[in-house]
This record gives sequence, C-alpha cells and structure tokens, in this order.
Amino acid sequence: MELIKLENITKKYKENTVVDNLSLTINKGEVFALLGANGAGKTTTIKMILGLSKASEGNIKIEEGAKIGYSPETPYFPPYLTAMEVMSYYAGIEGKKDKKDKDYLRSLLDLTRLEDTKVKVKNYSKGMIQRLALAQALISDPDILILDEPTAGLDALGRKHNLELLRRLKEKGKTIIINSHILHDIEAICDRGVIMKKGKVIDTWTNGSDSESLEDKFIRLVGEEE
Amino acid sequence: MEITINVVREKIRKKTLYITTILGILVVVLFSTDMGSLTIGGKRINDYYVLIPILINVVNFLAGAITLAISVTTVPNEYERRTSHLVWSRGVGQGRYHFSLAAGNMIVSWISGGILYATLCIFAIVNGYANILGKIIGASLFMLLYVAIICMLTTALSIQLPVAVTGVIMILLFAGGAFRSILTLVAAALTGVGGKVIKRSLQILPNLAGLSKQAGNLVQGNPINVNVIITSLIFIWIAGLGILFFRKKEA
Amino acid sequence: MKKLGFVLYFLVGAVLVLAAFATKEKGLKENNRTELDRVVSDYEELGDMGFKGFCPMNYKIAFSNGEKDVVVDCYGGDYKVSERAAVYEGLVGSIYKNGEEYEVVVPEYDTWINLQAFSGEQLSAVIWHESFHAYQNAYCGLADRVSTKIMCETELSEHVDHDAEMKRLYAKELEILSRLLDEEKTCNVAEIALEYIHMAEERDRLLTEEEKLSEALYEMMEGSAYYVESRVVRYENGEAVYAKNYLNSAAEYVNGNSKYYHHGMLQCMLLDELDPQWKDSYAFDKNLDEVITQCVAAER
Repeated sequence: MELIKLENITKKYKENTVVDNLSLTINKGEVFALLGANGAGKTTTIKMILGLSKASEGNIKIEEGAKIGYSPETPYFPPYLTAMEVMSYYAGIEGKKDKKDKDYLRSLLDLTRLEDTKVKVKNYSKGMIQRLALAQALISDPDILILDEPTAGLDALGRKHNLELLRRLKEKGKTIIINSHILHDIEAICDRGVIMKKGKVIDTWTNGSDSESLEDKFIRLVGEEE
Repeated sequence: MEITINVVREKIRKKTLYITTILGILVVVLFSTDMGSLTIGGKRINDYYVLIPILINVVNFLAGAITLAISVTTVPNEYERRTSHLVWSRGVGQGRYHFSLAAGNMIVSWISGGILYATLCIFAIVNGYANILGKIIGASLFMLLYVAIICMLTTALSIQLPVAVTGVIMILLFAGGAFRSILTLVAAALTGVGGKVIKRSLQILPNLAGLSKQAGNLVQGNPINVNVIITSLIFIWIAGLGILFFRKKEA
Repeated sequence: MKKLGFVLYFLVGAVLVLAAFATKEKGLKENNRTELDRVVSDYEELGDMGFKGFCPMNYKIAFSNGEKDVVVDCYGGDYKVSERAAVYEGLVGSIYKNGEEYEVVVPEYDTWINLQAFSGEQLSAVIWHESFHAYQNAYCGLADRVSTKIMCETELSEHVDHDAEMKRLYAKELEILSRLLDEEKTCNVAEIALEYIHMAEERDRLLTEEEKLSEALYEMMEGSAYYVESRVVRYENGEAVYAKNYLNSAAEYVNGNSKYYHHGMLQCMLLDELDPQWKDSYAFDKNLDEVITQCVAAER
C-alpha cells in the first residue's frame, strides 16, 4: 500500500536545480533508503516531504491522517532546556495531553538511552543530541519516521542500539525513511532504496536482490563522471 | 501555548531579561532620586505629583526600548538555528507559530515594564506619595499597550526582514512615535514638501507619546482621550495581521 | 475553526476602526475650546484694557494645523464652528483678511503645547495678541495708513543690529524706559520721559526716513500688542510669571525683532504713568513717541 508518493518533484533555487523530476513511492511498513553523495538532493527531498520546503514543480502525496516523526541531520533544540523539557515542549506543540505524560516521555528517553537530568541541551554532546532527536521523533507514535543520518555522531554501541531500535519499530509496522552515508547500516536495516546524483534518481536498490554489495554499487554509480 | 511559554522560559534563562531590566531600573532610580534638582524650562520641579507623568514617559520609553531589544531576534533566531524545523514538521502553521512567538515576546516585555513600574511605585512610597499608587498601577496599563505595539510590529517585521533592517525600521518608528510631539511641531512649522512628508509620516507612526500622555492624565486626574487608546489597538491589530500573513518560504 | 478565527479577527478590526472614527475629536477640539473659554473669561475681568472698542471675541479665531483651519465665531457668546483649508502654511500666529473682515489665525493647541515648553507663551495670550492686531486694522484702520516706505521688520532689525552706534543708543533708550520698572518707584516719570525723548531724537538723526517710519510702526503695532499680551499673562499667571517673562527681559537689547516688542511695551507703560487716559482717544494715527512728546508738552 502506498503511503508516500512523489510525482515529478523538482526543486530549484534560482538557477540551481537541486532535485530534478524525482518520482518515487514508499510503501507502508517498509524501511526505505535515500542514498547519494553530498549535495545529491536527499535532505531537500526529505524537507519537501515534511513541508519544510515547497517543491517548485510536482506533487507529493502522503496518506491522509498519517503521523510523521522527524529526526533532522543536524538537530537543533532550544538550548536552555533539559531533555525532559524538550520532550514536553514538542509533546505540548502536538497538542496531545496524554503525550505530555512524564512517564511516557521518560520511557522514550530510556528507549534512546538518554537520562532525564538537569543538564541543558546546550551542554550535550553530538551523540546525546542525536539520541534526543530520535526520542522526540517518537513522541506522537508516528506512522512514518523520517530519519536524516540517524547514527551520525554515535559511537559503535550507540549505533548498534539505534539499529536494534529501528528493527523493533519496523516489526511494529512503522514506515521508515532513512538518509545515511553509513551503507553498512543501510544494508542491515533497509528493504530498498534509491541512489541519487545531482538531484536525479540514477538507480534503485533492493536488499538482497543484487549480486554486488551496496557499497560497490554506490561507488560504481556515484563515482562515475566524477 | 507551549511555544509562548518556551520563549518566556528561554528569555529568562538566557538572562537577557535580567540585564535589560537592571539597566532600566538604574535609569529610573537616577531620574527619581535626582528629583530635587530636576529643572524644566527654568522651573525647578519638586512636586512628585508633577514629576510622575514625566517619569512615566521615561519608564515607558525604557520599556519600549527593552521590548525592541527582546523582540527583534526571537523569530530570526528560530530560523537561524533551525529550531523551526521540528515545529513546522509537526504541522504547526506559520501564523500560529509566529503569533505564539510574539505572545512570548509580549509577556517578557510586560514583565520588564512591570518591574520598572514597580520601581516607580517604590519611589512614590519612599517620597510619601502612596496615595497615588493606585493611579500609577492604572497608568501601567498604558505601558502594556505601549509595549504591545513595539513588540507586535517588531515581531511582524522580523518575519520577513533581516534583523538589522528590522532594527533600523523599528528604531525609526519607535523614536518617531515616542517623540511625536516634537515631530508634530516640526511638521507644523515646515512648509512645502518637507512639511507634507512629515505630516504624512505622522499618520503611520504609532502614537506612543500620546499613550504616555494619557497615562500622565490618569495620574493627574485629567480626562483620558479614548481615541488614542483605540488607534493604538488598531496598530496592534495591523501588526497582528502581518504576523498572521507574513510567510517564510522555507523553515 | 481557523476560518472562524479569521472572521473574528477581521470583525475586531472593523469594530476598532469604527470606534476610532466615533471617538475622533471633530470640529473644535476640547483643548482649543478651553483656550477660547479662557480668553472669554479673561475679557470679563480685563475688558478692553482702555483701548476703546477692543474685544477679542469680535474676531473669528482660526485654529490651524497647517492643512486645515477650524474657524470659531465667538460673537454673541455661542461658538459657531466651521472648517476650511488652511490659509497659511507652517506654524503661524497672525491675522488674515477675509473679505472685509479680519480673522485671527493661531496654531491649534496640540501643536502649540510643544512650543510652549520652549517659549513659555500660552496660547490664550497669543490669541489676545493677534486679536489686538485685528483690532488695530479693523477698528483703527492701521493697514490703510501704512506707508509704502515701510521696511520689512527683519531687514530693519538686521540693519540696526549691525550698526554699533544705532544699537548702543537703542539700548540706552531701553535702559531709560526700564527705570519705570524700578520697584522702589523713586523715579520721576516726567524726567524719564524727557530724557527718553532727547535720546530718541539723538538716535533719529542716525536713521533714514524709512528706518524712522518703520521702527515707529513696529514699536506701535507690535509693542502695544505685546503690552496687551503681558497684561493677560499677569492676570492669568500672577506677578512673578509676568515679571519673569516680560519685565526682566524688557530692558535688554536683543538682536532681531523682539526689541521692538519690548520697546513698544515700555512706551505704553510710560504713557500709562504720564497719562492714564491716553488710550481713550488713541487710534494708532500717531506713533508712540509722538504721543509721549504730546504728554510731556501737556504736562509742562
């Protein structure tokens, strides 16, 4: 069942075409990867899906009523808040009183291995910020999770834990879109994906269907014409 | 509501509010304790009953300046540090988001202004004028309007314009509104194009001087000009319209 | 819900705009009315101050903001208010000939009050001053008698200010006249008048015909109006303010037009001492020096 459909999406900034006539479909319950080198248009595509940026051309269709949780590539939180205050803040914005329940929010922090302390976010390490980003994305118990570089800044243990969490979320039927440069993590968790270059999809990828590894395929496709 | 509360919390924790308010209190103290030697038009002002409207003018001006400083960066900061991403992605409309930020600015500015008026009240009591305390508190309602105008206009402009440009425009509007009486005089005296330009400009300037005057009228038991209050509310309404309809293209 | 919110917001705006129109002061503003009431009230006590036929309420008073005049006809006790485009641009206290009638034009109170902080002059006093000019022209026909040889006031005062000897002698005249203000009243008025006349005659030898005529006119015209104004301020604000604003500075030579105001006021005060009835028959057909000379001659 289609959950998200992008039809001929183009994004231009003045003369610069960042996403060029992109079409793809993401089905319910799958873990989908957006792959490509820096500047390929992956983050711009994500922003357009989230409504953070408006497409210059094309249509984006998302199933009505689908809740979306988002973990940005470089998360920014109000610097003078603690982790619990951040969680409470976003839960409040969503307007759901039950989601503001402290126990529920604490459980999400536990899930991402963050402690509820008095330390302000401005004093957090990159890894802690990344964990908080994932925790706040889960507040609304979303149907769709969009994760931009979800394991960036995490140590090996952190990465392992996050991947395990994503597997559990997948088993619960969540649809997950991941943008990551760590191809090993993509192969471990994703079902399929697209490889982008200069705003276009240059190839698709399905986990387990290709004879070459994802890394080899990526280098072959993205490395051409460099 | 959450966004508004967060703005207040952040301004307090960032200590911006403390610094600006302390500066304001210092100025009020300076003016108030210098009462004995305050001279206007060659006439020494000793009577606190006469001095209070002058001090109200000063306090309102300070509150306005603090408001400008507090409000000018709130919206731009949200977009610069991209805290807006996680708000937009939750389906919060820009109008609601920006209005919530404006409300936060307003509450913080009112707190600042309230502290300045509290200082004024203390000096009234110290100088034996506790009987006009109620009137000073009543006069603070005009400060709320005064501050609200600056806050809303600044917030509205900051949605579309860079901080520096917003700052310059608001300084001009603020100074023009606060020193409107002098501009009225200049406009009356100037003939030709210059006079016409200033006269037209007066129509788009908020009547901040008028608000302070009404506050002074309240303290002195003179009639209040309701039209000044209503035109001030219109300015707030127009600024609110800007906040609702000015849009950012991207988060 | 969102639509309802917008509708309510626009409704609030509409209500505010309507309320603004409803509460806007139209016609004669309250503060302008207060100044007029003050002039009327002053007249009940001060009367014509000896100038036969003088009454500020005989002339329409126009409160101007440079774009619009609010004209008030106070004759008969009621205020009949009308509006017109401003007859003068800028900040103006003057008279205006409307057909055969003279009207007084002054700035509206909201503008004047900002200037009052610097000048110390009240709007009601300005109304009296300008009304007196209207009286000089309307009742006494002063405008009709003004010679074509009259110099512009500013040009005249600049010329005098740059001539050391003219300046010195004028200052001497002021000093002599100001002996009247001596609180001890040890002065002999006749002697002051005589000394003043001799000084004036000596100075006149330095002036051209045009300069003599012009100075005499301004001292008479502005000085007498200033004298009337000073009496109003004394009545409204008391002796201390009157002394500070009018008497203390009267004896000083100042560059510019003000010296003619001060000089003329002192001449009027001298005449009050020489002949308290001098105003009864005075119709601005003679300059003040001529009237002083006549009084001195009559005394002898």
